[in-house]
Amino acid sequence: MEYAFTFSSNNEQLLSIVHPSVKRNDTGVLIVVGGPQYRVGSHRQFVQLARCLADAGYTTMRFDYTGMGDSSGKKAEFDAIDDDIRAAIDAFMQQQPELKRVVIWGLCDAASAALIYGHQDTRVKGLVILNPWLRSEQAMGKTMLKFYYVQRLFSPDFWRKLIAGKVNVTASVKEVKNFAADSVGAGKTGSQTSYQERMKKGLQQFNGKLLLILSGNDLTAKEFEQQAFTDKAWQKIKSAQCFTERLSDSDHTFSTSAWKRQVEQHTVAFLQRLK
Amino acid sequence: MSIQGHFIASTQGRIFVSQFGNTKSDVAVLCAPPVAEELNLSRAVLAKQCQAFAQQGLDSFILDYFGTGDSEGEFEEGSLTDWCEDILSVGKWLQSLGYQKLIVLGVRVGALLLGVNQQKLHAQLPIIGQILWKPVTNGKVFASQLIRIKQANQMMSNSTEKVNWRNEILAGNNTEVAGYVLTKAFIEGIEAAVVPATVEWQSPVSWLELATEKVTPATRKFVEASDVIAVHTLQTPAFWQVPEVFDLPELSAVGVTITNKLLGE
Repeated sequence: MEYAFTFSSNNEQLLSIVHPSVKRNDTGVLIVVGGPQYRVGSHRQFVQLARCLADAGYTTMRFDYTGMGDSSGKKAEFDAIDDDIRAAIDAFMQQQPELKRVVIWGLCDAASAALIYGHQDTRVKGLVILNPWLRSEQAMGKTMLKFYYVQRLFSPDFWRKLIAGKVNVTASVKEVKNFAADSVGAGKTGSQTSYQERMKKGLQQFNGKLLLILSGNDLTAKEFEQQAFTDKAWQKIKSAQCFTERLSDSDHTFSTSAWKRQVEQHTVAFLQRLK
Repeated sequence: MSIQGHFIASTQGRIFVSQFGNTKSDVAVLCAPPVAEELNLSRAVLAKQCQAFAQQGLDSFILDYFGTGDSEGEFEEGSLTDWCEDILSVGKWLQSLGYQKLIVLGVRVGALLLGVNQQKLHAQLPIIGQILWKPVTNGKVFASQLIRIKQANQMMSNSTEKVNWRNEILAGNNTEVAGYVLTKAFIEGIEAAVVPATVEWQSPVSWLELATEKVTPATRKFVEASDVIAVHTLQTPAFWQVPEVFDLPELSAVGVTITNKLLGE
């Protein structure tokens, strides 16, 4: 039966819900919350996912990191929650002693947080990351160029407006050029210890398996894909240790039952593959 | 100040209650939160208010109605009637823990539930005062706002098809709106939930108009019809609609002042 449990991290009290599975399994799933959400998730996705995973044999825990939801403290930035994730895994394993390893599941900036944390903890054997947040001016420029403007050029509406003289062509072309200049220019500037760099390093050093789930109708996913699948430093994403699933119609938060169920199925299939 | 969570029995199944503070004094605050995405977006702000109460020695509780938040069930399985029963179940559970007086805090649809169930709630629970955050007073308006999201989504997906979603749902075709399944029973239930301006409030009400400097004409009608309502305006962000608002210390401070007054401190 689901139960609530409070643990502490750097003197803050973090509230969690544990979904124990009756089918004893040594792999547990820790759901990390991202964006403006709390442990329930957008349209209760995390509650439904946790129940599904527990039914499938995987004890699952959801929690509010510092300052989110019911937890105390001033809200932490998503790239500064390593301590909270570690404390959550400690608490989770203490609560459910049969657990020997953990898979971290995170959407959006929680996916980024999972990538940053994963390699630092040998108990973490897998990561499920959905639409990871990897925004950079450079990526934005490229994404906008490729998906927004190209899409506009193919849109009948755009052509109708163009023919009717309602589009300022010079301005549009200039805009595209500026985006292009920004995205090329930003690529040259050297190393930052930004969260993007730490995500990249996290992936390079992570020894477990990874499942990447991308929504087709989501700029965040497109930005990530644009960077991670073209940049050599991210090439591990194409390795045999990393699986990618695409939900071609889905929006950023998987806001229909059908998309939520697909995410659940992909997650369960990945967990079964870990064995 | 301690933070704990509990699952307690209610009419439909186990529902979740968050607890802030554990002084076991004789008064507690019981919060009736909003629903759907408003619950998610306002959660941290409401929790911070409860933490501020707890720091003053006033234990505070937030319940999740059946099918919402961490409670059992799914959104489409609950009804406004069940949700009122949930408030009663938690109120009775608090009494069993030794709290002899309750202050209720209703946020948005939570305030609507308090408004339409004034008599029932006061008959069964020892409520000594009420705080309302930007109350929904007409469920029909709330329902049409929900349905409008569906219409906007459809427009954005470039569909030219014109569907009257309210009629669709009322015809028995359950429809997903922003990740929640809306049923005929839900639409009928929420549209019937209207707080009349003439409602007889059964205990003092602190009505907080948020994200505005002015009291709306609609709210003025309520205030003029009752001698137990005090209205306050506060220029906060519309945190129940916009993401990334986690803490509003000025709002929490108003809550603490109101409860202190209610308790004669």
